[in-house]
Amino acid sequence: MGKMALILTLGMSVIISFFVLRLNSNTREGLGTTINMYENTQARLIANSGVEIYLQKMRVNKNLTSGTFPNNTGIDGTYDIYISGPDTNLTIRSVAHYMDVTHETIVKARRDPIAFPTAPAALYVSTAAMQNVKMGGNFTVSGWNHDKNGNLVSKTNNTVPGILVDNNADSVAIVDVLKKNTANNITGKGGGTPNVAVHDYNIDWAGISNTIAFSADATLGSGTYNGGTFGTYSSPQITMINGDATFNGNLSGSGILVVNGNLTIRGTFNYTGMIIAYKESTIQTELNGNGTVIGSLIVSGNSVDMNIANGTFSALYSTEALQNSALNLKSSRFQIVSWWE
Amino acid sequence: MAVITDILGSTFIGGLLLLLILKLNLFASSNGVSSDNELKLQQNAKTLAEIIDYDFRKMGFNYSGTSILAADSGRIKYMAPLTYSGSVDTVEYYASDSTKALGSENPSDVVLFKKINGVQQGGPSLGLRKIKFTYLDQYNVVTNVLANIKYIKVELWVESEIREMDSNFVNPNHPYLFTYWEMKINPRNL
Repeated sequence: MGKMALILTLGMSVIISFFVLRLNSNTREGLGTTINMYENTQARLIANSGVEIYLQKMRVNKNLTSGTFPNNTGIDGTYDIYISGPDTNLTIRSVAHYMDVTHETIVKARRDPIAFPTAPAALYVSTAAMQNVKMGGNFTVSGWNHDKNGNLVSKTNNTVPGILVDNNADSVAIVDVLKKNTANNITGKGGGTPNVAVHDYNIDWAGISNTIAFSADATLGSGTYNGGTFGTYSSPQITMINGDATFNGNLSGSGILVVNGNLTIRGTFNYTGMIIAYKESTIQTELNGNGTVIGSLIVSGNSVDMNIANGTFSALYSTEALQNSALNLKSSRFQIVSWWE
Repeated sequence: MAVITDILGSTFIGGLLLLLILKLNLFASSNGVSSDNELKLQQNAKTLAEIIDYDFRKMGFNYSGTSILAADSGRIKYMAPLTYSGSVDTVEYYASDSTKALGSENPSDVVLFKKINGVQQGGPSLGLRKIKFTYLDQYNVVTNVLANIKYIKVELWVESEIREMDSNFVNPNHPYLFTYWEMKINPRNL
């Protein structure tokens, strides 16, 4: 009787054990299925994030066009990045590892060209109202075409107005002031001295500036700059100054200089390319000293307070200088050509 | 007399225990089958989801025109290469009717057919009962304009291929386990 009970108990135990083991095994496999799906998704997200992270790095570091960057960590996994250029045909390959799963993403991209604005004049004052116009001193504004060194290339080909404004009232205000100052030299397309033209292009300079600012190589705060270089002709750069800027001393630069505030140029300031000074309210501009802008100078605001008091400031239109900037400046925007995952 | 009573009593108790073991064994088998079925169902649903996810993410790769050629709730046709360096092909997914899935006990399951350049490649059933595609634009709004499609919502109704053993918890008219899988895919090249 006792033996029978033992046999029965053992039999039942074996059956129950097998049953529990089988259920456990299925539960474990079911969990594994779910986890595997999660791992695949996570690995894919890590690989894709790796591409996005390195695109962001390439936005900031415009010289980053090739290289291997292994063992980056993120989202609890790792990823290796392989970049090959050039800028016009970039391949970014990201291989992510999460748990035992590997995922590969291959992205082809190209760096967008910089949205270089058209320069409508040597000095374009874009505003609804000019006020406090003072134009004294021995200054030169020429819409004739010059080379990168400021030498005259042509008075007829590729020329623009010397000074351009949006409306007749501003033109009258400027011409009235200029007529009292015979020392100025304002020349440009269509002839006549002073060469002041009227045309409202309705250009959104604030919008253009914001777009350009996104690709800034250097972003600076308001202040007085007594020296330094904002790019060179062979290596121009986009410089963004958030706030009022005073250039006082020996400064040079090339590319695009965006000043989101009042602009004051004193001392010796030589710039090739385009300067855009804009402000949502009244913008005050003071152009004195021995500054030279070869390319184009844009001043834009709800109203413009312009003061050219003394010195020998020059603004010379130059297609060569502008084209050099347009060709060599790199934007921080990428066009995704294809995305393999 | 006492011996006979002992024998009858022990036989009765022994019989009860034997029946108990048999019942336990049946219960274990039934639960084992059900558990296997459930696991298989889960794996099948995952496999179907992986196939669709893998293929749909290739949509529009290396193709400059409108990648989706046809799109309705039961069928999608698009341009995509099957491998990274492969040529761009026309890929089509659609579900068959329930007569095509011959390898399962389930009378309702269908086959997920895949056509490449118009040539039918066959496809898995894996207990798929119904598949539904919904197309969304960049604002996550349902659209029928092919060029505006940015997201594809895929809904899968999947059932077990083997019928469940009879019990109080099983619908006798359709004794199959059921699961639903929904995913929204954003093919980056659209």
